[in-house]
Amino acid sequence: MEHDISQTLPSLRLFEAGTGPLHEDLKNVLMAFAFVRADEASQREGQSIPDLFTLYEKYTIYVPGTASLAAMLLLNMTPAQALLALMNLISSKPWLKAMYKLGLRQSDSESRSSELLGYDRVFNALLAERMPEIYANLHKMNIRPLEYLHGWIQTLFVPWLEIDTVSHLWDIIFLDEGEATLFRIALAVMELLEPRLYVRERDELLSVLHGTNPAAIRIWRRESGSPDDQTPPRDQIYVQYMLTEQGVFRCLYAQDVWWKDLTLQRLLDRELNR
Amino acid sequence: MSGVVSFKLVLLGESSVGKSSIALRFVKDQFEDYRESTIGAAFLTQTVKRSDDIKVKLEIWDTAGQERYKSLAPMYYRNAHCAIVVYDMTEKDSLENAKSWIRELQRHADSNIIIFLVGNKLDLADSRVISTEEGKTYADTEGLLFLETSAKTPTNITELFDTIANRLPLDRGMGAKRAAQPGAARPADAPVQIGASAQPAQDSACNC
Repeated sequence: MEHDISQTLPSLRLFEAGTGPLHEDLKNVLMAFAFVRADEASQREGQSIPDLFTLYEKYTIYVPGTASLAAMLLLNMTPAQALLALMNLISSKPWLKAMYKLGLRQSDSESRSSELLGYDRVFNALLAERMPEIYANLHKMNIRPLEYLHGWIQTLFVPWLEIDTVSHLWDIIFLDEGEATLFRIALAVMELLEPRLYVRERDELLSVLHGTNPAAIRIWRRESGSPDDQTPPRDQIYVQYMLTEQGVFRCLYAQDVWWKDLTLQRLLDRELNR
Repeated sequence: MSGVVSFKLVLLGESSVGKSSIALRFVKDQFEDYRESTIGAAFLTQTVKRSDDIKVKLEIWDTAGQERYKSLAPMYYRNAHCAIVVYDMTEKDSLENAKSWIRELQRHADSNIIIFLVGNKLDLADSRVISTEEGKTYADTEGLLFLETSAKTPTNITELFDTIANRLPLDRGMGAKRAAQPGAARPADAPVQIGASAQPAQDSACNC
C-alpha cells in the first residue's frame, strides 16, 4: 500500500510520505477500505472475531491501483466522502467491480479470471473490428489485455494521462450509467498509440504500452529538454507520446460515427453469459 | 526534533512569471535562463535566521502555473502561512492574473495568511509594462506586502524571504510550543486541521 501511494500522482507532491499534505488522508482512506474488504473476507470465512493476519495472507485485501482512485477523489472531497465515493465508484462500474472483487490470493488468476476474461474478449472483439492490424499484431506477440488494458481500467487512467485529461475523463465516466465509456476511452487510447503498435518484437511492444521504451524516452527527453537521467513522470506516462486532452476527446467524439451501444451490449451478454 | 519552527509558504501565479526561479535562487542560489515548466509542484525547504536571531524553517511549495493545475491550487495554499503571488512586470496581463489569485486567496485561504505581491523580472525593467506604482498601489489598497524582484541578478530575493520570516508569528508555526496557550489543544506535531483557523483568541482580537 505504501509503495502504491508513493507511485500515486508523484508530480503533485501532495501524497508523498513525510511532506505531502494529503499523505495521511490517502493512507487513512486506503486503510479504511482495506478494513471493509477484510470484514467481507472474515464473513466469508465465518470468523466471529476477524483474524486480520490470516485474512491478509489469504485474500486480496489491497488491490494495487486503489491508491490512484482514492487520490483522485481526495483532490475533490474529504476523506470520509472519498471512502464512500470509492466504494460507490467500484460497485457501480461492473468492469471495475470485477477487477476489485475480493478474491483469494492463491487462485487469484482463476477466481477473478472468468469475468475479467469475458471483458478482455469484449475489448478484443472491438479492437479487432476497429484496428484489425493492431489486434493481429498483439495476438501474434501473445500480448493479452491483462498486460496493458487492466492497468488502465484498474486505475481509471490516472497514471497514464495528464491530470486535467483524467479529470475530464472521470466526468464522463461518472456520468455514464452504462458500460460504454470505459471501452470507448480504452479504444481511443489504442487509436492514439496506433502508429507505435506495429512493433514486431514482444518486449519492445510491451515497453511501448508500459511507457518504458528507451527509444521513446530518449525522444521525449530531447523534445522536452530534460536531462539524460530523467524519465517521464509516472503520473502522465503517455505524455511522452503527446496524448493530450484534445487528442483523446477528438478521438472519443469521432467514435460517435460508428459506435453502437447495442453492439457492446450484445458482446457483453455473449461473453459474460448474462 | 531540532525545535526549529517551520512555516508553509506557497508560490502562486501564472505560468512563466518566475516562481520556480525565485525559489531556486533563494534555496540554492542558482539561476537558469531557460527552465522547463514545473510539472505539478515542487517542494523545497530553507532555514533562515530572523532579525531576532531565531531560526525558522520555510517549507516552500512551488506550484505549477499552467492552467491545468489551477484547480489543485487550494491543496497547496490551505494551511499556508504565507502566499507569494508573482507576476511578470514585462507582461501586460500578468498583474490582472495576480489579482485574481489574490482574490481567490482572500476568499478561500486562512484569514491570517500573509500575502506578498511580487513583481518579478526586474532585470528586464527596460521592457516593463507594469510600473512600480501600479503594483504598489494595488498592494497597498489590499493590504499586501509588495516587492519587485529579479531572480536572475538577483535583486530583492533575500529581502523577500527575510521580510516574510520576520513577519511570521512564531506561535502559529508548525512545531511551535503551545504550552502557554490553554486554548490551543492541538499537540505540536499533530496534523493541522483543514479549514480550522486555529486561534480563537486571535480571531476576537482582530485589528479591523
